[in-house]
Amino acid sequence: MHISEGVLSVPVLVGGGAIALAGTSVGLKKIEFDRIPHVAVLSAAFFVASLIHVPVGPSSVHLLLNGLVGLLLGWSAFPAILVALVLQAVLFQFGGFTTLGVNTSVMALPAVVCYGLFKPMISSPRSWVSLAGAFLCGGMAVLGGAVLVALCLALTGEAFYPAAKLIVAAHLPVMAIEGLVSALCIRFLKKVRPEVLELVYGNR
Amino acid sequence: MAIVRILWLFIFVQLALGSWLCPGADAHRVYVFAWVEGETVFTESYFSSRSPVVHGKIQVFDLSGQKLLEGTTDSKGMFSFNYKKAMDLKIVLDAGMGHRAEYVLRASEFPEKERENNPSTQPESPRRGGAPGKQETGPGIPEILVGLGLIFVIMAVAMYLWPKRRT
Repeated sequence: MHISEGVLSVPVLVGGGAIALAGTSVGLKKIEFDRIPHVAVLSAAFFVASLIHVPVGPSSVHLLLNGLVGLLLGWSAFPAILVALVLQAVLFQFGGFTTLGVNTSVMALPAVVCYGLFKPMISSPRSWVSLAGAFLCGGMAVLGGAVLVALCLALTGEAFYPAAKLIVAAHLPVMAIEGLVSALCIRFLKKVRPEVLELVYGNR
Repeated sequence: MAIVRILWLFIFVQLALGSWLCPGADAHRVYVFAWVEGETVFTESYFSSRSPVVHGKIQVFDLSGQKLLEGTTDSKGMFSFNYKKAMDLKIVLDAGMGHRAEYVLRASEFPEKERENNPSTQPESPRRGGAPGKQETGPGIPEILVGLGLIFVIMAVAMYLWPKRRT
C-alpha cells in the first residue's frame, strides 16, 4: 500500500504530510530512553515486512505489520513507520518522497486508532479477551490503512467505493495473517517478556 | 502449546528469511516499459515480482501533456498501439491501489527516426519475447541489509542524544 508519486493531488499530499508531522511529533515526545530499542526493532520489522508477499489472484499484496507496530508502540508508531518508509523509499524506491507524509499517515493513523480502541481488551487479565483484542488490532489496522488509501484516491478524483472495495478485498488475507501474528505476538510477550507490554499498557 | 510454538517459529522464520528467500516478491512497485517493432509500439507492465499487471490502465501522452490515447493491459501485462509518426511519448501506467509508473519513449527509438539520422543503418529486426530492457527487479539482499543497518545506526544515535530522563 505504498502510494506512488504523481497519483495524489497537492492538497492530499499536504494534508497527509501535516498529519504525519503532528503524529511524529507526538510519537517522539512519548518515546522514553529505554524504549528506543523497541521502536527500532518494530521499525525494522515494518521495513522488511513489506518484502513478504501474499498472492491474491493475478497480483499479490504484502504484509504491513502496522497493527503490530501500533499495538506495541502506541503513538510512537508514527516515527517508527516514518523511518521505515524513508528507508524503503531510498533503498527500494517504494512510494516516494512526495508521498512520504501520506503513506506514513495511511499506515500509522489506523495503528494508533486501533491501539486506542483495543487497548482495554489487550490490557484485560483474561487471556482470550487479550488475544482477541490483539487479533482485532492487527486486522483492523490493515483495514483502516486500506480505507485511507481509498479515501486518498477518492479525494484525488477516483470513485471511493470501487477503489475501497478493490483494496479491502485484496487485503483480506493480509488482515487475517496480521491479526494472527499480532495475537501470537501478544501471547508470546506475555509469557516471555511481560515487561515490554507493561511499558505500553501499564501493570496488570 | 507445542503447536503454538511451532507456529511462532514458522512466523519468525518467515519474517526473518522471507526477504532472503523471495527478494523482490512484492507488489508495491510497478514498472512499465515500451519499445517499437515495425509500426507498433509495445508496452509491458509488471510488478517488481515480475508478475504482469493485468487490466492496468495505460495512458499515452506527448511531452506537452496532451493525452493521445489510452488502453488496458492484457493478461500478460501487454498493451500495444500503432503510431503515425515518430515522436517523444510519455507512457503512464495506473495499476490501481495508488500504483503508478511512467516511461518516456524517445523519438530516436523509432525506426524511422533512426533511418533519418543514419541512412546507412539497416532497420533493426523486430525483437521478440518481451521487453528487451526488462532488467529492473525488486530490492536485493544488500539493500535490505543496508536498511536494517541504518535503522540500527539511527537507534544508536538516538540513544546517544536522547535525554535519559524526560519530565
